[in-house]
Amino acid sequence: MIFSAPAFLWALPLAAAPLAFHLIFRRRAKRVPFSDTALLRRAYSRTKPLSRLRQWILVALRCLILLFLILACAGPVLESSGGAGTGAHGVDLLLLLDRSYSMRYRERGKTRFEQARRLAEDILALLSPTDRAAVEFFSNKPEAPGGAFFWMNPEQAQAVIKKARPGYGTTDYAAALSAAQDFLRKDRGGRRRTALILSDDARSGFSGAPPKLDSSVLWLGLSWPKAANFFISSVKAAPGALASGPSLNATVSGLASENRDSMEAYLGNQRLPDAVLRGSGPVRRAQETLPAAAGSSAGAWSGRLALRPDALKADDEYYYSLRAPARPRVLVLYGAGSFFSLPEPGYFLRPLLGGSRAGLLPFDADFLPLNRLSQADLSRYGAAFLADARGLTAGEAARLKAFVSRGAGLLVLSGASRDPGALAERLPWLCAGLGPAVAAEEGGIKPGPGSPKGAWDGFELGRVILGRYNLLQPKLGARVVLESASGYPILVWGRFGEGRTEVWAGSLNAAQSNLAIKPVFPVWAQTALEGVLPAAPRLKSLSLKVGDPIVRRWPETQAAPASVRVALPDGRSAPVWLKNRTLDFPDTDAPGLYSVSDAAGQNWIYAVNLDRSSGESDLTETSSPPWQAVPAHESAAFFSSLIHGRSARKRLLAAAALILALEMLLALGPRAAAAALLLFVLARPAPAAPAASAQEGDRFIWTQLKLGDTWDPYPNVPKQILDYVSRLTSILVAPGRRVITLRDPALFSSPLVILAGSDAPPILTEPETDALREYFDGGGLLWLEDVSGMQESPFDAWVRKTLPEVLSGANFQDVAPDDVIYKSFFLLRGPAGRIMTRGTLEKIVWNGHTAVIYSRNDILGAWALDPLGKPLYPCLPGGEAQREMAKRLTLNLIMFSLTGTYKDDAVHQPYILMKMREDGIP
Amino acid sequence: MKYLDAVALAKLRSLSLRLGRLASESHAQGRHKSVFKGYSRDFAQHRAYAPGDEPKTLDWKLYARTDRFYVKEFMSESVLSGHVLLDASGSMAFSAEGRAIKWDYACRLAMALGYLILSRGDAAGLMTFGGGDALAVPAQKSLGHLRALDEALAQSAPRGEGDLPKALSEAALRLKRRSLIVVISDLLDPADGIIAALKALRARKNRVLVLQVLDPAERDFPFEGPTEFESLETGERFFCEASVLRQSYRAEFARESALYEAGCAAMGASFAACPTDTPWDAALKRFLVSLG
Repeated sequence: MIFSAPAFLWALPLAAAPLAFHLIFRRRAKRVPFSDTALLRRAYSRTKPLSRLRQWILVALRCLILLFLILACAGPVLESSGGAGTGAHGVDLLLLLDRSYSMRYRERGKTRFEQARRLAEDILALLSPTDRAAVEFFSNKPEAPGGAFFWMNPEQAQAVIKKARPGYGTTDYAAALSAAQDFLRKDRGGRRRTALILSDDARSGFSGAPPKLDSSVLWLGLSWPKAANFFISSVKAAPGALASGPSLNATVSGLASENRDSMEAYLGNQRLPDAVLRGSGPVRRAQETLPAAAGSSAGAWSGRLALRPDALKADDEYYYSLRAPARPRVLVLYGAGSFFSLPEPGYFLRPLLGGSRAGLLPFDADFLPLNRLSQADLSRYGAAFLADARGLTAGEAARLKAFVSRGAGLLVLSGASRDPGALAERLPWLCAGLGPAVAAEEGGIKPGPGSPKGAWDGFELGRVILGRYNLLQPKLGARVVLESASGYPILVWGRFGEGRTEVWAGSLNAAQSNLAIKPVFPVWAQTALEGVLPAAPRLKSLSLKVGDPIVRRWPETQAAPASVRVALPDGRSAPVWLKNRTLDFPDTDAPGLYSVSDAAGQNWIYAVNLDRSSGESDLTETSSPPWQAVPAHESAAFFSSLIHGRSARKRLLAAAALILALEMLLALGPRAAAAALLLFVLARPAPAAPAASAQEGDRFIWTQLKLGDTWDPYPNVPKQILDYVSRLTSILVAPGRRVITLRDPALFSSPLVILAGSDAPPILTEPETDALREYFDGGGLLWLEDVSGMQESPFDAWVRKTLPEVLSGANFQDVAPDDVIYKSFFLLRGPAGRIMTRGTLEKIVWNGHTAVIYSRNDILGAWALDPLGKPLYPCLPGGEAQREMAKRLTLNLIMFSLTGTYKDDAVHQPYILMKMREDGIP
Repeated sequence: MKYLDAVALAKLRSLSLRLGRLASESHAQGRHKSVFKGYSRDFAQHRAYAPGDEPKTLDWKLYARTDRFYVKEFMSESVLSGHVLLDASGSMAFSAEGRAIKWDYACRLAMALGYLILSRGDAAGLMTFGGGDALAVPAQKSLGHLRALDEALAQSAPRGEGDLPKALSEAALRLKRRSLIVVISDLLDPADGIIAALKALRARKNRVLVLQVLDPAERDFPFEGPTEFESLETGERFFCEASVLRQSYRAEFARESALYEAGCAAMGASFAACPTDTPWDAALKRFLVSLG
């Protein structure tokens, strides 16, 4: 047996403490004069041997409990496990590092991937030079770092691990374990072998039953604290309603304990109105309607839906790219020149179908006199609408016949023809023969057997007056869409060749029929035209999963470019050459919008998203993993001990618990022991709540960094500032302030940390530097305030030396007058403070966001009050106006820390404009 | 008097010692009616004269009326001899939790019983036995004898190892038959020997009353933790975990008590336990009531 923390063995003598206590107390037993000890002796002789030994048994049990606890703390490891080898020749360690996106879950400022990687490095550091290590990365498939798996020395493995970065794939344990077993099977060198799976233990990684693992290898895995995560689980696009763009139907999961009611939506970089999350419980839905495409051209929409980020940001965004083909075109033909005059049909049809302007219906229409039909390019149209057949010649009829037989459609208003017989002769191939005109009966019209279901719901067809109509004789295969109250066909649909025809028995002339002025008219027109138009164009989603290649093939009928330029989500772009008229771009390894553009200016945007089908975002841990789960917070030394053998800690703890129960039974009796056990069970602390992503109930906490001797020059100022903030803004503030150090975990739940001072704080230690860097990496903002009022101060020197070291050479830059800091709440012209030492604020930008704001003008000093409530210091040189500006700047800084570049993004503009429109302001 | 003050005397005035048939069997001249005919002021009967009767016993007035000789007989009166045998071994010096030591309690009982015996016109004596010098105060009838008893008790103290069976056996030989013998002891010795000795007393037609004086701690054994007990009689020490021994001790004690009760009941002796947390007069009263 070996021990991973042998220092605890020094406490072994403590195990004899109960015996020592017993002997001491025995020696110090109280002496009691008693009448006669003869009876005591007789009683003692009658006691059971067990009772006589009870005290010694109790002492022995107490010693054993302490012994087992001390041994458990020392991390005992049994060396007899592992099957192959004894470890005398070193050990083989295979590290399987999970690169799936769920490993990006951030806890206490570090992602699980970073924690796992650090653990792996530490474990490798503890291996001896005779040990061997191999590394396997995996997500949805195993990856060998150098193209193949091989054993290397621990230092080389450390170097490989250090370079690892998390990916955006999903997890497939089966594939990873299978590859690991194949590798381990090749070399059975008589050494102890261990495989350590550095993963998040999520059950989504197992698509089926866990694979059977080689028992000669010790399989270890990490177990993590319970994690809560909400995410966009799916987004489906659907064609939009009348006069609007497509809609996105999103499903959000994991919101059981979250109070979220909306998600953000962006079209490109333009923010759209938030999508409202409907329903309650863990799964909620939202619908976002995109704006209609401009004009009559094909529509293209790309952007993203986003939840406010939680601990796992990757799955809180969903990218979309939709393309809709051009709207179908209809050619409206008319004969009479007065077609567009009241009461002719054109008067009503032009606003409906648009003509040169966009109409109400989802079609684009051209109006053309019949005599110019020969000049028209009919291939551009999906259907013709013969609204007025007067003057239809045989040639025109033949052209229409050819047009229809090729697959197009024709809608004919037969009532508009004064001579239906002539029309029937010109167009004998229509779906219905044209009979004589008759006067319409009372009762309007009604849906026929061939009417689309629900098309007319809510409309009063019975009030439609036709006046006169032609008796239609439907041909074989034709369907009656509408019929008169007496059952005579009014609208008949049928096929001809590859196309479709439809005949309306009446007219749209307002002098004869009131159809054109009825509310049902747009529906009638849409139903009739959709009946003859080819199938409705479908919305196309250019969406891929991370890792799927972008493939686009140019058809032979189009000119293909030699190369295209692919722009990646991170802003980089690269030319890609086409092969066989095909673009194949495989490097979609991060979610985002990938733009493909050719030299001609054509552009295709592909939305690349995480693979959500595997449930990777569900971080629920595996109930029974095939490996031995070890808490991830355990030390590398503990893992090292496991690698060299099997941990006996749990067994010892179990034995100690058993002995404790026995001791209680013996010392207290069965009833008291049962009561004590019950009390212990009931008094167990409740399971810890999952880490909250939003800290402190969404209240802003004034957080000061305790660093150096002069960290708190104005102790009473925070209260005034918080009063000011709560009075002027809707920010919820916590009443007190929070004082932290750089080792305090609360650092990572503070969006703004203030460090003030005049003297130089101490040099930061390495853990403090790491913590501060992680804080900046996580998006934190540090407000540095030099309160010395001097041009050169020790604090200033410390800041200019330390911060660039923490942020790897990043330097201070002046805050520009148009920076969002000066307009995050108040519109300010520049810095302010108690004393104007410097004319600008300074900042450090890190990873795309402002990480440090440095003021040398003692902004906090402008707030300081004496006991009577009067300003403690004069503001120089600007006086009270400068003080007021300092207060406003304080508020701006707080607002900036909470909203970032919100004001610059102008995401609120659509709301303001919408509100203005609703209020009738032009 | 040390053990019988005015308050105690006042409490005792309402009590009396009733011993039933025992008193009338005595041949001593006293206040109690005897089954024997003798000389007293109480007329018993007339009997026909028989030769040998003393002429002075003839009832001449009756001869004058009946012209026959009758002898006039009177009820004879007897006196009882009561002896209190008091245990003065070292164990009687025990007390716990601030209560009175058993010796004081037993002395008060002894004095009270002496007073009750003397107040009946009987003779009361006292004998102590234990590790020290044995004390013996002869029985006398006078109430003034109480002072002698009290002084004797005041000069005595419990000490040493007692041997109750032996003391009882010796008393049985020394005391006259048909006496009242009151044994006051803690009875912590094995019951068998003591009961045998008591039987010997009873065999001599004595009336035997046994009062067991105990501290409640001796009955309940309330001690906790590792304890070293030191015997008040022998001085020897005994270490034990008191809580471990408690159950067994109580069982043993109950067994011994049951033996005493059963043994006394079988031989016709009266037995009562007098714990020192009960006032001595209440314990005595309860005991006297049980005597009938």
